[in-house]
Amino acid sequence: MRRRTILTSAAAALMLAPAGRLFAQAGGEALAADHPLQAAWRSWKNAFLLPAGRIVDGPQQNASHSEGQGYGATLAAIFGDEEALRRIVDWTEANLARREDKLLSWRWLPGVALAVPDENNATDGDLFYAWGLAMAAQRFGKADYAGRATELARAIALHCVRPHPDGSERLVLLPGATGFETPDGVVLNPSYYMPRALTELAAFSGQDRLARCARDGADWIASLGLPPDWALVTAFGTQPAPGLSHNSGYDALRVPLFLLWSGLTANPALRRAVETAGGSASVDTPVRFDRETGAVLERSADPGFRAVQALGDCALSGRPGAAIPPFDARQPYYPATLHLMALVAQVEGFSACVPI
Amino acid sequence: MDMRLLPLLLLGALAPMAAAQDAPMIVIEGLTSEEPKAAPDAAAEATPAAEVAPWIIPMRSLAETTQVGPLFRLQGQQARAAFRLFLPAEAAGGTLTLAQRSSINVLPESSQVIVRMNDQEIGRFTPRQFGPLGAITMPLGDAVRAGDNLVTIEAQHRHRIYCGADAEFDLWTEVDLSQSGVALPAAAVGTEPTSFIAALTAQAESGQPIEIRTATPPDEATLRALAQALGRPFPDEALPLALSKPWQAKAGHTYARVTLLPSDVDRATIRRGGDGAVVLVLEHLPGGTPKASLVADLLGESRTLPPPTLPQIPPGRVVTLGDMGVDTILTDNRYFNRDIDFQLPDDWLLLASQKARIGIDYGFAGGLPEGALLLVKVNGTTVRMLPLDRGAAAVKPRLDIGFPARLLHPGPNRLSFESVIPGNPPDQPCPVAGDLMQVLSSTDLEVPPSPRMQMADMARDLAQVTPASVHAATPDGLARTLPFMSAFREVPGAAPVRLTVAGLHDIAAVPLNEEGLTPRLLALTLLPSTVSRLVERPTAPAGPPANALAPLGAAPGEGVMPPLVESNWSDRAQTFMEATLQPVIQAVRRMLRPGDGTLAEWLATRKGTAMVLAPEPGKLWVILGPEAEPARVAEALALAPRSPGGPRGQVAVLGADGRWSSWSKPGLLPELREPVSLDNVRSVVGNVASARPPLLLGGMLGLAWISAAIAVGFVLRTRGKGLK
Repeated sequence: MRRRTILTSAAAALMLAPAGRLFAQAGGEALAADHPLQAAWRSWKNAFLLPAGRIVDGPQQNASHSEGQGYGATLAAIFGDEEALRRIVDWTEANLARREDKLLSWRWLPGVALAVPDENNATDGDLFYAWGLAMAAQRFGKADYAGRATELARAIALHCVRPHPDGSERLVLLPGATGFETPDGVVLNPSYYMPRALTELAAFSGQDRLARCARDGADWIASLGLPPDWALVTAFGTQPAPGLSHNSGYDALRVPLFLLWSGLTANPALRRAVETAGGSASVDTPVRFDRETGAVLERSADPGFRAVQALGDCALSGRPGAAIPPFDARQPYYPATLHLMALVAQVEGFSACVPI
Repeated sequence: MDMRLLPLLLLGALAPMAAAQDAPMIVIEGLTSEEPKAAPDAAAEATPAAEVAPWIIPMRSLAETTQVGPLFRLQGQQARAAFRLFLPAEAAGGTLTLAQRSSINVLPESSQVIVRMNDQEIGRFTPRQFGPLGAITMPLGDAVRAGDNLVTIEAQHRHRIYCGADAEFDLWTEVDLSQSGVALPAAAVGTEPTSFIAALTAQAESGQPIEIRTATPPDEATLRALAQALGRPFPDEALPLALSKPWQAKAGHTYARVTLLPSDVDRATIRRGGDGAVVLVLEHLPGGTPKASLVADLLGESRTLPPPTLPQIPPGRVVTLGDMGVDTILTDNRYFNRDIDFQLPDDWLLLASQKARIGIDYGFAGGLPEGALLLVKVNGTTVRMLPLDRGAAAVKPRLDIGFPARLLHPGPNRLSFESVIPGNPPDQPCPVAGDLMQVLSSTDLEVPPSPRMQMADMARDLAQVTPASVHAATPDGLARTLPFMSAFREVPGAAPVRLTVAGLHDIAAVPLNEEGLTPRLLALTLLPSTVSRLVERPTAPAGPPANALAPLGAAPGEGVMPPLVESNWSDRAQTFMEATLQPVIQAVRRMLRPGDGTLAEWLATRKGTAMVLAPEPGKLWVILGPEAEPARVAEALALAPRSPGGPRGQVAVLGADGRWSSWSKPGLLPELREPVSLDNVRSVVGNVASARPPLLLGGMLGLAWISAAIAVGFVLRTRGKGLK
């Protein structure tokens, strides 16, 4: 079984286009202006990006999150959309950059007196936002983006990266600067690890701790089997986080996507997630699983979830062509964003997995 | 009610869908050790398991039709229509759904619609759905088979109030072909070749193009081979193929497409795409050419109905309707029309006064009201009106009907029997009676032989068009040619013909050899009325026009008519003379050059979506107007070799109603393809003289002059000798 896994992984690795690394591209080139995927980006912007630069998560009380702003900044940089990026940055800096440690507050609520009732940060939002700025700095030659990206990278490395509770040299990425360290260990969210973003941001900013964190995180995720939404990591291992979902659900859906986007196709967690979800032929994609039994707890018709699954299917099967559905901005913000990211990951790193 | 939902309702039992679940909402406010910020509360925003509309595998009309839109009408007291229905194996045990409605004039109690699948009745229903469309379903039974099936629908209508030919036009049942067919749950559609072909029919019926998805379009030859392979299961049909890129979003549901993928192997497989479409994936080596033969092999095994063929009529021989495969025609309709198409040799040509003959054996019921008629038509021209209101007999004595053989064309022709029988009384429903009229299968047709002659005619070239003949006017227009490449079949021993497909923007490349054909005139014919009206009205000059000059670039026929009111008497006199002499000049011109008149005049009164030009033998140009659907035009052209109403001559315009108007250049001389002999010289001269009367006139005048000169010479010589 292990041998077969390795062989298939090797086949899948062959399908990875070596030019997939954004920063490896000459001058950090964005997606060409006439690339057909630009239409999907325009649809995404029309659906979720307000003129002021705020990215709206409709079902979440029309709130905006640092995560959404970070995703938007990253996508804007990838699509070479400087104008959209500028709007996103302006709004984010004006409304979420209110912490002394330079990290972003995690949520902004519209139509209330106190738009940011909680100034805590969410590390994945900070990470994507910084990564997007770093890319933008290279692509658009903007020093202010570079400065802010470096500042955020330093803040993440300082406030959100901690030693492993087992006392080893391994590092963990806290979901936020405060509130995730308990006497028993640390509460982690596997989907907050985006190895490629951490690695490239480390290279950009010189924060080596981020790169180490990416490696250690990928190793930890590899040990999880089907990734949970949340987990408590102690000196003795990983266990369910009290009061938090230990199922593999909507949070954990991002884990295989980020592994794919990072080119980590040999990570066992990716295979486990793809195999548990089954084929991508069905219109209704399994989105929540019982980690113990692998039973499907919930399905969704949103094509964004299916896109992630289809890309994983293709990447691991070694069979060209992926059943990635065409981008559809009529789905909610979250699956739509995962959908667009899956398409970007395909274009950047899996040339053989072109949507059939 | 949205009719698209009908099959969904009907399929309720067939397609058990996963029940939507109320996803638990995970709300995590703020950041505490117990409640860290979660990823977006995605459970609340995810769309639950979907109810996917079933697929309708549609019926496609078998006969040439001028139907515009999806509604197919069965009209008259007795009406019958045949359809193809390509089904995958998974359709076995399913049901046929007909979205239909009938005219309010139909009396349900005396009417019925019978549906047959492969000649086996699978259901009948009473037409009582008036107004909006309604769904009728019937089990396919064991008559169905994987592959092409023949569905026939026979409507027997009775009028509620009236009886007569006019009333028959009020009797109809319409079937919405876009919503009729076999409904299959989307998930049940498999990945077999028959599933893919069935999905192709659904895609074509949806009005959306069939994508050939590729990041880098292959060369023209590969696309041609691919289009041909895809079109093979669809004789007489054109697929609305189009090129697309992998990441392009597309409106509407997709049932089928083709995707070309670089791979380490040449392989054709059928898979389901992320949007549920059945996708034929053609893998090819990077930098190599996709092998369309793999597609042909994959789809070639599917069972398809052969394309219909026309009976051949050998000139000089008597051929009965029975020989043509037509049984005795019986009807109890008050209005009845039956077309019988047949084929004459391509090099048959008689333009003079030779007679062809129809020997009709017919009969009709007694007591038919005054005015009852049977019209016998040849290519739309009535050659005899036979009264049916006197001398009734089950079989009348044989009647020979002679008609000018010049009504017949080389290639496809049409013989029609049309009866009109008034109601008696007309203001009461028709009594249930037996057959009113019959034309026996012993009725025969005799076409006189002709010398082997041909006129320049695009119809002959169209019969030779193969997929290899099709080319784009410009490299950018390659995608537009794909439906044409899919529509045509290989023709054994085909002469080399080139069919170039162009758009209006390619007009500079179109050879406008015909006198009077200008880019402006061509554009005016093909542009929508709303646009061409603007073009036709040039801005009025500041002062009064100096004369009635045609606008710049206009053909002679487009010239502005001279104004009738002028300021001085000489202009008025000139105008009067022109107005008086014009008809005379026209009449003389027509006598000297019989035919369709000048192209400019002919085109000035026509409007269409596409135009075919035959600037020289072996060269055809199709110009698509902005409202043309390439697949529809391609289909019309592919049918042309068997269609008496197909395009002919040198210029043809395809109207929005799907009918062709054709223009033949006056004065073209036929070409003799055999030696002149005593047997054929009379016909040859007759054809030449009919085609170009001035030639005969000139010849006769020349002979007369020579005769006169000889006579004068003889007289002079004789008189001189006498004087000496």
